[in-house]
Amino acid sequence: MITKDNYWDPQMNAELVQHILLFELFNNMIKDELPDYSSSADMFKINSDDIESVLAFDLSDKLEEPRLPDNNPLIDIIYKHTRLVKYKKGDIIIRDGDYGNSAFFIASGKVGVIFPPGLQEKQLGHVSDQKMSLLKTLKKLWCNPFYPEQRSQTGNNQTLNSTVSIKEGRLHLNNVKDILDKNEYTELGSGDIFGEIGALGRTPRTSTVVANIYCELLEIRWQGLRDLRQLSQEFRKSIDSLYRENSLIAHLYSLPLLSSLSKSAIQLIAQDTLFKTYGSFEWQTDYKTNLENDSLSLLKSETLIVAEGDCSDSVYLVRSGFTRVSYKYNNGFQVVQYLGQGDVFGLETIVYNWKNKANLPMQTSLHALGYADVLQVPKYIFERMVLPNMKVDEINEYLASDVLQQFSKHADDSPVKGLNLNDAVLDFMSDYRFINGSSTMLIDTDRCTRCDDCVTACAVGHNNNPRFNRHGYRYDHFMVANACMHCNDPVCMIGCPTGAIQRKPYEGQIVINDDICIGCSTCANACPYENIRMVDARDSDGLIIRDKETQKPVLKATKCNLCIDQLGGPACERACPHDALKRVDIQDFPEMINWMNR
Amino acid sequence: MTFNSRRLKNSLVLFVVCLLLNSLANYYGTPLYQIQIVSGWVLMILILLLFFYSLRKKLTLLPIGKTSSWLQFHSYAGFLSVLVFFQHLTYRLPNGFFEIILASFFMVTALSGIVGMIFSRVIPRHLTRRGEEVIYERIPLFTYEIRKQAQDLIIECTLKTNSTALADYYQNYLADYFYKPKRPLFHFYGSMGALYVMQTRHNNFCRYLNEQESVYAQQLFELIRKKYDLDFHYALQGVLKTWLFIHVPLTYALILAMTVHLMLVYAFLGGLQ
Repeated sequence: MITKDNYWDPQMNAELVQHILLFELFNNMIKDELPDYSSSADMFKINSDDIESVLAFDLSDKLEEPRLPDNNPLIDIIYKHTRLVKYKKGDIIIRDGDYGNSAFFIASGKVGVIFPPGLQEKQLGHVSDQKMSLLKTLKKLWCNPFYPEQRSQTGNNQTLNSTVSIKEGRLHLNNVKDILDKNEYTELGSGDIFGEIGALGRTPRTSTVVANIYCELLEIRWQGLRDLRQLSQEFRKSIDSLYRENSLIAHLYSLPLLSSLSKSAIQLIAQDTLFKTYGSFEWQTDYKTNLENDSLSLLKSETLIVAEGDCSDSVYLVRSGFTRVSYKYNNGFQVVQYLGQGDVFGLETIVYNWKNKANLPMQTSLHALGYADVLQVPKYIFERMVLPNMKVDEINEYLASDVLQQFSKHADDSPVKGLNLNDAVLDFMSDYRFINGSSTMLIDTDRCTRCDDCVTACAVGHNNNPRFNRHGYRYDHFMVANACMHCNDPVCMIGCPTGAIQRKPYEGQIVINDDICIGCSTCANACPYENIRMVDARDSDGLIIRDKETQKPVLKATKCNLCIDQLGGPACERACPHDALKRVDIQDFPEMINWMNR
Repeated sequence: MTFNSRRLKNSLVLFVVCLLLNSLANYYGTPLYQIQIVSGWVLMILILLLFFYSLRKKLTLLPIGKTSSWLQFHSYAGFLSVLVFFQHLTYRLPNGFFEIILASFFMVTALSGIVGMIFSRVIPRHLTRRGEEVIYERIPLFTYEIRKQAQDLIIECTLKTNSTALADYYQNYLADYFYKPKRPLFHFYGSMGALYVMQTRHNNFCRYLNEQESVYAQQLFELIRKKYDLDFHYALQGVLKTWLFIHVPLTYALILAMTVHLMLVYAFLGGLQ
């Protein structure tokens, strides 16, 4: 039953539902008569005949809360997972490279989809890649502001440069027509949908979309898309075919395992590949609660993808998100490894079965850590196309893998291997979801003299404001400090209204453009690790700056930017005199373990 | 590279350099006539290089190598400077007033450096293994919070049990303990003796409490233990910070005295010759 509390947007009301019901797809779904749409664009075209009939309904009466139908999932989806958003001409709706968990359905108006290379960095409000000069670096050592968090330009309405400004908390192109004319773009209009692949696959947006004229867009968040996909076969087919055409083939190509295959072979694989999302995209909301649980219940709460002992009939390719590989160990589970984007699960057993004509089941379980987008490729494809072309060395490597060694030990009834540092660190990193970090700050507290040189260096690099806390969860004598980990799954980037928080395309740092941050706190609330801090902006006299209209203090989101603008890289790491601090990519587990075992 | 292999490599380099310097001194000692001039200059250059480490620590943003690499150089060059220093003195004790002061400055600086290095390696391990990780500057705040918790507990106990036994005990024996960090020297030696004394006294006192009061007394002892760990951190982190207050100012004093020494040497060099 829908209650006011579980509405996504309190503004959601019968008026909005009425608005949505104008569209043929939704109407037909309510009637349980799905039309035969040939493309996703056709699906959402307004049927003018239906408009009058829908408008004739007394919707407000039909959709009163107590009478909201439990058995009508569409209205449930609309109520819970959509909202109507209005954009003015020139407003940027989504930016190339942004992460988002919503798709947009155009209710009215037109938008321009700008193809790559697209807009310039400054037009998108991106942080420049330029490093600070030596002279400026030297100057910074002595000329940092006296007061903390000093700013010169702030506010929700401001002009950033001749082409971009912030209007009502949104990034706005001042002369959209000229900009569109200078770029290659296509126009989408009423009834079209965009952003669904990025939202469902948790992948970065591939184009920038700008409102061409005044637009009303129905924003559908990923839960709504997921439910719509389950509700409507046509919708699912359309999304799936779009995904296969646009993303899957390119993704399969990028996998080293399949790189030697021909284009036609890849297309064949793409046809038979199943894809599914496990777990929840919004795993961060339960992060704190889950930490209170013990490891066993934590593992049990994770969505199972494949169980130990299941028939080995597919290879699983992790497309995005994280998974935990584990096996039963006494009365608990021992984590063997975690897999992230581009990793493969289950191939060892298939290679073993293929080579020995055996029928070995899965030796380990695979669980989604938070969420995981997984491609399931049937084993016969591998047996026909991949394994015969594999080099002997590679095959032997798979046969010698830990997973199969573990099996042989079990089979011989020999003692199971004991726990070592690697295993325990794996458990720690998985339980606390630190595996997400690509530049996690690890501190060896056995070497750290608590001199805070790292904090001082960080402060000097950021106008006398340190951007991390030398504090955090600890495993043995290793502490994961409260510093931005520059996550592989950057949940903080979802929902930023101006795109102020962004990921650099080449090195992957997540940075905040202070100029266009409007202090809405979306990123800080989303970060499960509490590594983004909201601060009060101050003027040159140290006084808190207040918004001219609301008189509320102007807030800014702050976090570690990995010293992106400085010549030598992260100042914290360079400043540590005792080699106690390192920024580590947790995906590069061997390097991290080597550092820990120095 | 593991720490052990790095230590081995750097020690070998230091050993070779020491041998080389010693051989050079022996070989050129007689022809140069005044070997102290050469060893003096070598020592001064070494001291200046050692001093540059503190400058590097201030120039945090410049891409001039990691501070840890500089510290490695600083440590081994420090050991080398001690050898050169003794060579410069021709392995005798200084006898002039200024000479004694200068040599004392050098020796105390070098010794404080060595002691600091030992502290830096030993103390962090102890800190990791005791209590929670706390930031030094926030310890007074945590002390206050523990004191507040203890006082609230006492008030609650008094109100609920209608007895002032625990309150009296707190006032007589614990109020001062909870007030500020205590017994830094005990903690420096890692002694648990003071806690043991408090525990014995606490156990003796608990014999005369009823069941309800005992529960409060138990909670109070948990706070005593927590405070003890906090004092431990305060004492040891304090040591890690304060040894630098000897090492760094003395370095400046040494450089100043060394400059005066250099001027005096060259002022009177002609006369000596």
